[in-house]
Amino acid sequence: MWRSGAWHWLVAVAVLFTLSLLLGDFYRHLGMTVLIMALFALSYNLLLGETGLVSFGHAAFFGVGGYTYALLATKVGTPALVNIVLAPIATALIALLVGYFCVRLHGILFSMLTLAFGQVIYTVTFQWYSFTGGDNGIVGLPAPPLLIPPGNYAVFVIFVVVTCGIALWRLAHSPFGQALRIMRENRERAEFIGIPVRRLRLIVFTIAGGFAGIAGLLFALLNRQVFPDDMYWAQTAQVLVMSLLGGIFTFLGPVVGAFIVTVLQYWIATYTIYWLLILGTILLLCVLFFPQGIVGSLQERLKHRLAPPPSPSPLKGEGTGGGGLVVG
Amino acid sequence: MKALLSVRGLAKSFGGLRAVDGVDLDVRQGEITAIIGPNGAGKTTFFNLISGAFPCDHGRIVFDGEEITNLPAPRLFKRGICRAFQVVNLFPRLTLFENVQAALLSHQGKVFNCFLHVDRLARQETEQVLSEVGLAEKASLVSKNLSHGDQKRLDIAIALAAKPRLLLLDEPTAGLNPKESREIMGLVEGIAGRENLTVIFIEHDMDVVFSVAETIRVMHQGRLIAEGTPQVIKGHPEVRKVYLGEGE
Repeated sequence: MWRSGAWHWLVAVAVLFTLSLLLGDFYRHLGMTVLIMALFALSYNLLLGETGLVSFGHAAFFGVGGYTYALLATKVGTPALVNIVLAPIATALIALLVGYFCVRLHGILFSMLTLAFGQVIYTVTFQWYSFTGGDNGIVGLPAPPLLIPPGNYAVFVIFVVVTCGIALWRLAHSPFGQALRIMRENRERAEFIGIPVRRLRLIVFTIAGGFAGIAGLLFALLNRQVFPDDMYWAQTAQVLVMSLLGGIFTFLGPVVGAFIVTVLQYWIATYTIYWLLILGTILLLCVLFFPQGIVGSLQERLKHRLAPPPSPSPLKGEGTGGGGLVVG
Repeated sequence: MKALLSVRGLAKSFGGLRAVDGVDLDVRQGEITAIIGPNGAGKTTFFNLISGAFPCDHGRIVFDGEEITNLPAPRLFKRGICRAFQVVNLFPRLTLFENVQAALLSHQGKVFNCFLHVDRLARQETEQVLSEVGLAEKASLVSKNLSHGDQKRLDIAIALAAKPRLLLLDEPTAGLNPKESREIMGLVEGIAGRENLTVIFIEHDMDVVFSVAETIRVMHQGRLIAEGTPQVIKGHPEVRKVYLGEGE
């Protein structure tokens, strides 16, 4: 199963690529947005579901990824390929800096400090007209010529998102990933089995920030523009909703959540401006009837059908059931 | 004979309360010693100090010839000091297997490994630890669904997983019935004898204390007031006063 990572990668890329060929321009753009949001949600759930850290500043890293590319391209003028490589690295470094202060705190204090840092980054971007363009954003971003045709860019997005997704999957199923769940479950005891909690939290915060930066970069290149709104805390709330909707204790839950929320947003927004009302209703129903999220509930049901309670179920590294959000 | 653990002048206050007030202690390699004393005597605080839960105010702790005073818990774990808890302290939504495996992988220095698949690692060792404490058949259950007795076993199994040199057990039999108590302590004795493990345990059940401990330390109001073999402690006048003459 482990070595089959390469197979998963190939199958996912092939399926998504075929889909992208079948779709028209509008749905291809929607599909790209779904994939990018899925990566963003996966990066967020690395903190939320795996480590039990509720960050309210994650969107700032999504924004920093896009803005790093945009600023390098428009202010510095470095080649686009260099910018593409530098954007996630710069984002991870900023996440490292922010995380250095945040991981010292626990529970609601951690959440509040991430919110504060996120809003600081947002406000600076929003106000600094001479550098970031303020609320006008930066539009008309240059892109590498190869990525300009939408079909080509779709392939690039598929390639990057699937690769990052598999990397995150492997991370979640590695000893490091297990240590994250151990910290989520019981921070105190984790220390007594030799897990350096603060250091591990800082590392995972940096990794999650870096992947959010990749998602932000892809999003900026998709629309060839960046806006401060990408960094606003409401953007974090949206990715939180995606994770909860899909199921935070499952690996693929955030992907399903990202799909549902993004598609709903596209569709319903064309009929009514009250699409948030409908999303809110869906979330409410989901929390009431599927507290473990869609994927979590399905997994639970499947497990019960496959293995009746008395016989031990096969070992699984994820989806061990249980509801409720753990705030570490 | 050189002591494995030696403690000098250890002290810790909380506000005005001197929870641990100048404790000197030497425990030799392979010794099984009980710490007893009335509630509030400072036993658990003493454990917290030597297991790295929080730093002490004064004093020194030396383990195997090296100073370990105020090292944090993860560092002490690496040196072979492992601890189980009075109130069951597990990783509730994970399976028994994962509970034990995580401690083993940490001991093997694999916490930062991002590339291997965790399901394949340390399988045999984990299963061996679980079967040692009699939980092998329940390996795939989620630990929060266990009975209290099994949770106590798992708590100890987590502490035993990393092959500790010094095992600290805080009331290993709390909340268990006499049969379960005997089983758990028999288990600890067996492993300690086989591996020449040093064990310090806090206990209120005197039957357990006098049947398992080779030596007993008595704490009262943050101080050690007596130490010796069970016979010596039984006849110790001050111990009798603390235990029998309440309010004295």
